Amino acid sequence: MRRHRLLIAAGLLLCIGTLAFAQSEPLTADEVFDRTRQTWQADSFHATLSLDIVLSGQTKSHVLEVWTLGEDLSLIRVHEPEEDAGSGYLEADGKLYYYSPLVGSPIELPAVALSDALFGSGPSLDDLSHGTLSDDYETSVETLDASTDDDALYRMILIPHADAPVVYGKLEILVSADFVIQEVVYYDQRGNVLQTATFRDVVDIDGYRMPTTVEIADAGGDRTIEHILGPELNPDLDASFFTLETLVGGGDTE
Amino acid sequence: MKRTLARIAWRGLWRHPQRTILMMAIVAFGSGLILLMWGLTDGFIETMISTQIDYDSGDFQVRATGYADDPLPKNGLPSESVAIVESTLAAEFPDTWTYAPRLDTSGMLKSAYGVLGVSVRGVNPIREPTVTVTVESVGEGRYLEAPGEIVLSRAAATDLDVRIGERVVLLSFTEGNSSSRAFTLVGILDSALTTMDSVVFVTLPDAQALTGWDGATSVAVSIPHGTSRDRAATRLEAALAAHVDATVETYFELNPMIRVMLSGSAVKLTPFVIMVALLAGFGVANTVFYSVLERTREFGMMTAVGMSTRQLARVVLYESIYVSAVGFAVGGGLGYWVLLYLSRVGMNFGALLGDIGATMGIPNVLYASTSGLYWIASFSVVVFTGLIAAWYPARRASRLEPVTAIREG
Repeated sequence: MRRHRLLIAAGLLLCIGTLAFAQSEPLTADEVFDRTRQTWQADSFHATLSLDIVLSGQTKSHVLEVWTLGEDLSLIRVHEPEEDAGSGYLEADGKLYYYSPLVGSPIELPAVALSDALFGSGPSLDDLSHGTLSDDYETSVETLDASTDDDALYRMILIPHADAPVVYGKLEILVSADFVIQEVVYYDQRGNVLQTATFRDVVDIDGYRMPTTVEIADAGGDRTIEHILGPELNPDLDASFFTLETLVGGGDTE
Repeated sequence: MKRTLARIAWRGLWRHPQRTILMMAIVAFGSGLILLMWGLTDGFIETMISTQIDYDSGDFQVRATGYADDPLPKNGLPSESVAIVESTLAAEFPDTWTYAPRLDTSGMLKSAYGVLGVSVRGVNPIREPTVTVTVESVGEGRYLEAPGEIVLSRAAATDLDVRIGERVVLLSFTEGNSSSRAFTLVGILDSALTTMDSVVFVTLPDAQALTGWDGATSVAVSIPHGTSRDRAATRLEAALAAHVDATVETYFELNPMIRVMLSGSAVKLTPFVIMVALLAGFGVANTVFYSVLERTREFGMMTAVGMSTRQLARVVLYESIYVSAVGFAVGGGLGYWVLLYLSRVGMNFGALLGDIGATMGIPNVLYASTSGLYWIASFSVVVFTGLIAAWYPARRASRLEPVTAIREG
């Protein structure tokens, strides 16, 4: 579930579609964050995610369908592997539920399942969506030499404050001129790279530019490759969709 | 005359040195074994209890009534109750009684390399070292001094791959809500108690902020060695009864499983000691008895030349006493030396006890006890069994008819 939530976060980050700004003056870190934040605040999101998880040389593939509305409502339906097909997760009203056809009824997971995904793990969705990064991080931005639109133009450096509940020593985020995140590098407190998230295969969707492949690689060699298939930004969803009934009745989501 | 009889007995013993050495070896083995058994068992129990008290619980704890049924911070002692307990201890009890409020809860600790479920103990950095010796087991870095700091066991620090000066995040759950706070690792503990490996120490204000409970879950109390814990706990409970809804629980009340285990081991040990004593006693009796049978002719000659049957019985008795005394001196001496060694170096049962030791709160290294009482107990057993063992052969020797004995021998 932890990995699923991380991927939802990655998926939301991918919603950063934006207008390209021709910059005449250097932007501050907060301004770059504001621009990126504004672009991915689509009210709702729907896509199918194909995941290849490589752990200790073994690859396991999953296919998930994800719906999100705002910051508090999300639904995940597992389609593959076959043994997990029909199961899913619902986050609503601050609670997290799991459903499996084998169990037959939804189970509320303990609060830790919801918290564990992000506690200490870097910028939270709340930080990203409300621009509260400066509460926990010392931020700075460096403008790079970008010869094409696909090159990174901004290198954001996030150093957690001493009392910030973040276990990383530093985060480095590369953002393109059109404010699409290209890479996030997580460092430990000794300056070693722990994990790198790379965003690529950018496509245009209704005026948005969006990467459709995310690869999260650990320093140890484990990695997760996520392909976003058929992404929809601002699909017609409302709160009544994110219910236990929808979680249990898989057919309604088709 | 007694001296002459004693000399005859001593010379008689060494006419058959192999037999005598065998008898002495049996007594030495029995007395050494008894000494070791008592010394090791008592020593291990003492080590276990004192380690638990010194590193974890204190001699007893004041806790809110009913807290044990649902050990959540909200069921602990409110701040007003903590203040009353502390003022009562300060005003009505000797200065040698030390005490420290604690707030225990559970949580998850995260570093850049992993997550660990932990027990969180909020302590007063100045008062806690007066109750437990945790501060002495800091193997790296230092003990807590200020809010925002955390101290971990070496096992936890290794699992999380975290070093002194690095930041970790502690997540705690209360009433369905969670709260995360960052802490800087300032110390790593090399605790003798494996149950403490999962305990992390933060300051009391930090634990209160994490849990949202401004009181404590217990006030741990330490009293001078030699003071009766039960009586002291009863006295404190009586002093608090009118002011606070709290109970005072001793180490054994806090650890009912240990109490059951110890009472069981004490009961099981007694028959084993009796068996070892009987083994040594029968060994001596058997050998003395056959030595009397073998020397029937010799005893007949001795009575024929004027030794009374009473004196003859006394010679046999002296032989038995010599054997027991020398056997005990050798066995007891060796046993005591081994105990003395184990009381200093200890024995590491970590691999043997494994998870059971960790669950029961038994330290990996256990130390023997060297109380002089074990010598007395072992000596009493040897003398008692030696005398009983010598009784029948001596009685038989005393009933010998000289002429018959010479003819039979």
